[in-house]
Order: sequence, then C-alpha cells, then structure tokens
Amino acid sequence: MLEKDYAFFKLHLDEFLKSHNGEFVVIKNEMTVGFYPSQLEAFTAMKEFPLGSFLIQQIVPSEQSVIEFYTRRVQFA
Amino acid sequence: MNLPFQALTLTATGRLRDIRTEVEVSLASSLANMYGILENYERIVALWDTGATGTAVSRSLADKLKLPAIKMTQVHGQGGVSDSRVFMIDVRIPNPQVNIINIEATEFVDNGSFDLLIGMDIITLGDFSITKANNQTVFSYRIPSAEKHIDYVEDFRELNKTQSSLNEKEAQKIANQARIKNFKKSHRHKH
Repeated sequence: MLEKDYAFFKLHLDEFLKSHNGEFVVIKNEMTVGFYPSQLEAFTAMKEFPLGSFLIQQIVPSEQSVIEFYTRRVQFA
Repeated sequence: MNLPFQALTLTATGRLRDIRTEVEVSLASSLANMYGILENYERIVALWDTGATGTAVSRSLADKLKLPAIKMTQVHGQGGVSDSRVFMIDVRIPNPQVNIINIEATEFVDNGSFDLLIGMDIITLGDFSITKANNQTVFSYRIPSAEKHIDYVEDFRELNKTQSSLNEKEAQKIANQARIKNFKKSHRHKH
C-alpha cells in the first residue's frame, strides 16, 4: 500500500511543487490528506490514524530530495 | 540545543577490520508517545560505516520491532537504485550509555551479520576517532563535539617547530663553545 502511496506522491510532485514547495504532504490510500509546514505538525494531524498507514513526504524538487548512498554490500529491496 | 555529554570507547588489540558495537534500537520514543505505542528495545549488533550517508535497519529488525514506515526514499546501493521504507528510530549505545533519538533509517535485506548500519547521519552528530597507539585500535565517539578538532597536520607542524628550535639551540651551543675555545686559545698565545 505504501508503495502505491509513494508512486502517487512521485506522480503528483510537480503539481505539489507549484504551491507547496518545502511543505510536508500526507498521503493515505493514494489520496492527499493535507499539507503541513513541518513533519511534526503532519504527525500531530494524523494522530487518529495508525502509524504506517500513511506517508509524510517533504515536497522538494527531486534533485534536492534526500537520497541515501551505501557503499557496503548491503542489499536494498 | 545543549546536548548532555555522552561518549563511548571501544578498544581492540591489533588492527580492527571494522567497527561493531552492541546497541539497542526501538521506535522513536517521540512517535511512540504521540501515538500511544509501547516502546520495545531490541539489543542487536551495529556496524559503523562512513560509506553510508544514512542509517539503515535490517528487515528482520524492522519486523521484530513492528516499525511503521513514515515515508519512502530512494537508496543507491551495490545492487543499484531502489525505493526503501523509512522508519524513525531511537538508538541506545551502552558503554556508557549514548542516546541518539529521532533517526530516520532506511531498510536493507538481512545479511546475517549486523542489524543496524550506523551511517554518517549519526557519526557526524559528534566526534568519531580511530587511533592506533601501542598496537591497540581505539575507537571513540562523543556527542556533542569537543571544542577542539583533532588535527594531525597541526601536530606535525608543532613537532617540526620544536625540532627546528632544538636544532637552533644546539647550533647556538656549538657556536658558543667554538667561540669560547677560540677566546681561550688567543688568550693563551698573548701570555
């Protein structure tokens, strides 16, 4: 499910960037729940829902988003 | 933010091939408190890795702790580029205790060797050193950072300065001795 939410986020990133650059978007069931100025505010707004049932992604251009690099032989996914 | 001084040291005889410490991992207490989840710490082996930009947990540890993903991100590893779930965790390192909170960690496939990869996000929270005096490898870590940097080039300059100052003093001494000798010699001739 979260994979689908992440795909939804990536699909709509350009659109989100136009009016919510730098903010945090909450996505649940492939729908936008809301936009928040900070991650903490997004978590607080989603207190009624179980953790792990939604994603909180920061809206930044893909070239500025945090990408993790690993040189050691650990396998991801 | 004023962090309390926390530190850990690991000593090994001879050459240390990698740095592993026992640590305890749980869901970040900030999230556990907010969502009314009971914190559950697991003691596992962690590998300190300066080649990793971020911290990562094994899939089995994530499953055991029932870590909920908070977001997803792209990871570049040996196997190429992939998307990974991201968890928010707290890490406790005994010896004595160092607490690191609210760390965002990606997820790797189990390798049977370690369950936590400590990356540069944690390492650069403070000072990290590996020294090898007297054929003992000593790894030490502290947060927050000390007020002074370790600078071996500065040590080298200091040593050279001391050495050249000693050489200068030695040369001065030899010159003085020669002058005294010449003076005595010329005095002896006059008498």
